[in-house]
Amino acid sequence: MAIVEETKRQVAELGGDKYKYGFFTDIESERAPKGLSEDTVRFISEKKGEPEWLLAWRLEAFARWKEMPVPAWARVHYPPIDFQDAYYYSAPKTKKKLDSLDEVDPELLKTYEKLGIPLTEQKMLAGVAVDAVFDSVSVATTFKEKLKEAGVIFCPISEAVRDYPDFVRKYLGSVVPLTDNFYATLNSAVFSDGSFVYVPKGVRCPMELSTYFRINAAETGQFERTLIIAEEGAYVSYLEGCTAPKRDENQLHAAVVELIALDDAEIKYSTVQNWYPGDEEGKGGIYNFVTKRGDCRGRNAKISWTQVETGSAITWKYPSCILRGDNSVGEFYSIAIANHFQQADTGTKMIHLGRNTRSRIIAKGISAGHAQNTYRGLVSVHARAANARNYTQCDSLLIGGKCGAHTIPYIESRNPTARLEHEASTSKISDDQLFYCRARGIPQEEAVTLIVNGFCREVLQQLPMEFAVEAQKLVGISLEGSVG
Amino acid sequence: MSAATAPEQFWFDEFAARARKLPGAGDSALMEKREAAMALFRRAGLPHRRIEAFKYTDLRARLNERYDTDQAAAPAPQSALPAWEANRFVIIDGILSDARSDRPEGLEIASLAKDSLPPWALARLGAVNPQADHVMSALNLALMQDGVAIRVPRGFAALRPLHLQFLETGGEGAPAASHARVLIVLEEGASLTLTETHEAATGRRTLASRVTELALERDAALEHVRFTAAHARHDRISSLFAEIGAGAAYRLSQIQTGDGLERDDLFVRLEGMGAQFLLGALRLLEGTAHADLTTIIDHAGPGARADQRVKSVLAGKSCGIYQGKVIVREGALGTDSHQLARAVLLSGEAEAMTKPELEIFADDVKCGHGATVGALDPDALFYLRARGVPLNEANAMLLEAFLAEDLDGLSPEPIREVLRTATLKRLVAMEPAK
Repeated sequence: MAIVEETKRQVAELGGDKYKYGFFTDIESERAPKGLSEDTVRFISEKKGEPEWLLAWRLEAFARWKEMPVPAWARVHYPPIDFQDAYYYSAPKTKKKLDSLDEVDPELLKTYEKLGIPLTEQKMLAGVAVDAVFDSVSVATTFKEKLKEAGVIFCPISEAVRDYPDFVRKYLGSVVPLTDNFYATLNSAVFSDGSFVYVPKGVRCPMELSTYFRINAAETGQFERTLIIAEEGAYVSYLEGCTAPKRDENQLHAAVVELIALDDAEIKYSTVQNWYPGDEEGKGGIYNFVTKRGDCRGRNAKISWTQVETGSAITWKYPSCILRGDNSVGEFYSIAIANHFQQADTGTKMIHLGRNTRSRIIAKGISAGHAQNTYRGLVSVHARAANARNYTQCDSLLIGGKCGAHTIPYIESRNPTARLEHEASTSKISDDQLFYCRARGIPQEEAVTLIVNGFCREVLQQLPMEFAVEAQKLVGISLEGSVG
Repeated sequence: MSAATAPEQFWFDEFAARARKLPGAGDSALMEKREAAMALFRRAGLPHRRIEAFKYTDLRARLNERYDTDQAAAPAPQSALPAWEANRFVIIDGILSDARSDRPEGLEIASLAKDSLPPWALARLGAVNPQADHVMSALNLALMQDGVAIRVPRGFAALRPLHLQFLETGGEGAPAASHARVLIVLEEGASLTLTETHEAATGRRTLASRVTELALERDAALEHVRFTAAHARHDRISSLFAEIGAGAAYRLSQIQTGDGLERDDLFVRLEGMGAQFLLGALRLLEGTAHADLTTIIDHAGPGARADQRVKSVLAGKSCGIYQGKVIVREGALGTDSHQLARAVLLSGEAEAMTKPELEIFADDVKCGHGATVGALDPDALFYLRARGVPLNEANAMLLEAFLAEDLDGLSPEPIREVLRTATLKRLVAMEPAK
């Protein structure tokens, strides 16, 4: 995607080992012509066999997008993106299966090992053919049956458009409207694929959708679109992403995630993002420009976002909650780690519309190297939101004197019965704590990891258990080379 | 900028018509400054809500009159506040009143309109902690009618407080606007207590554009107390620029009790080891008051300390805004900077907007901010009412407790008593919560 020449070269070099084994090159026939025009949008829609209304929707988005200025308010810097210098559609890539782990880039294996990923999963992630005992297809089938039994729909969104058009038509774009922002509108015009989840009334989804997702990790492309609907009294926990580093040739990712929680429903959405951050000199890396928003449409609804952002050269992302239903609850737990030349501008919006709505924001930012890490958040209490409550805590940790940590919270109250509290602190790793660890024989880097993990504890605790362990190790890996 | 709006065009015309008649028209150095400032205003126009720093205060929409800038010869108003012992400068409608002002000894004083500016004043004018593209102070400089420049010489401790008394005449007539400026230079080791009051008589609509420039050289100390009482038809646009040298200390206590529009920009640059800035701001707003306090504290050198405390009591349809930004530059190690913003909403139509911002480029720092917004504690109110205290008194009592540490900390003492009384009188008058 719109790769500057230099970056293209860098990515090729760095990812070379992997790509050597990676993809078929015969993909031209499955690609839309380069560039972005109405024809591209039509091409994508046709390839996916979409109904007329969705094409019209995409076209409207495209028309609006052409009029929109590129947003410049975030504290991130990058050369202008040439949106015509990119492919907007390519069929899911078929990877050539490798015969054994011996063929895999040893660097990649080392990282997997550090993360403690089981051997079979390592093979899958690296694209090695998996033996019959742990056949992903059969496992996936078992899961699918179990979900079907519960009445949960979980499928690619392109399938949902075909099989459940009414749901998609009713909810798509209802949380993140067509004209929401530059990148969301672009996504609406050209979204490739993504997940669709529907949990019927009163159903507690029998498993973390994460498990399934990871095994079934399909290529969803750079313009991912996710739609999750929890009907009255339903519960679902969804994990997106992966702790394992993945190299990706698409430089720009502009995803949209929409969550809808009706009366008494709860959605827990966890993200672990570890895309290619660029090298130590700040060359290359993914631009991750994401719009995520949840709508607590019913009474007593709850939406909880948890994110661990360690990858990407640039992260631009504000998972938000619209607390529309009375007594609804929004939560945002975030860890953003930026090392080397990474830039992260992330935070949340909590829009209190209903009575007795509550929200909680815990954001931890860690900057090292030459990185810039910004928390940007909005807590807005509207006049009708009597007894709204918010608690916000955003802490920043600086490692080294060349990085930056910024906090930009907006706190707006229009109701006297609302109670809002906000705290923020910025400091460096305590010399005393470091000294304590080192005096006990813990090497510098491990000590930093230990202290940073302590700093992030409140957020890590919110992750589904299996991922919490990996995420903890990921924290250490992301900070490698930041001290000494 | 796109085509000028009518209010903007008014100021362009105003400058074109008056430039030759403004004080210092014969002084080419000053005229150059004015021209450059007007050029900036022409380029940028009046700030509006699409400009981030003016998100909550749209001046293009609010400052929409065709103002009369020839000062009316209305009878000079008197201050409603009891006097305290001080060397006084009385500025009526932006013009320094010689008859009512003192000429304190030991200080060097220059009227910005009448004297030809001494080099130390000209060099600093518009050049203290300058902010690129600060439109409102540029407009002020371009059209400045009067003001005062004060130099406290090296090592001099001014024992008697200096009092700047701003009065706006009221009465009938067309809306009036005035542009005035104060420049104070404290040389190395000098110290001064400065009090400042802003009062506007009721009647016609008035716009007061005020700029204060404060240069504190090494080890200087300035105690600054500012009290404003604006009425609904009075708009006060004020910008304060301060530079604080190593070892110097600046404390600003600001009390606002108006129900007009007040926009206060505060730019403070802390330049070195031991520099200190303390802000205590109290806002007691009601009616349609709109008070916007926007601060940028710039830790440019290492080892400086800043502490900002902003408390708002908001009744009626008032709106209290605090946008506080702390910048810690690369290399400003050992910085200690804190912000606390607390707002109490007394009515269902009052609004509190808070944006405490940190921008940090150095690691060995201690920075933090806290913000709370809410109503008075219902349990505490119940406790008092159960003991026979009427609701509005109970309210006032709790509010007094809320403000106590700031009121008690006001200095010097005579001013503390005057302002405490004014503040508490105001509290009792404020409408109780429903």
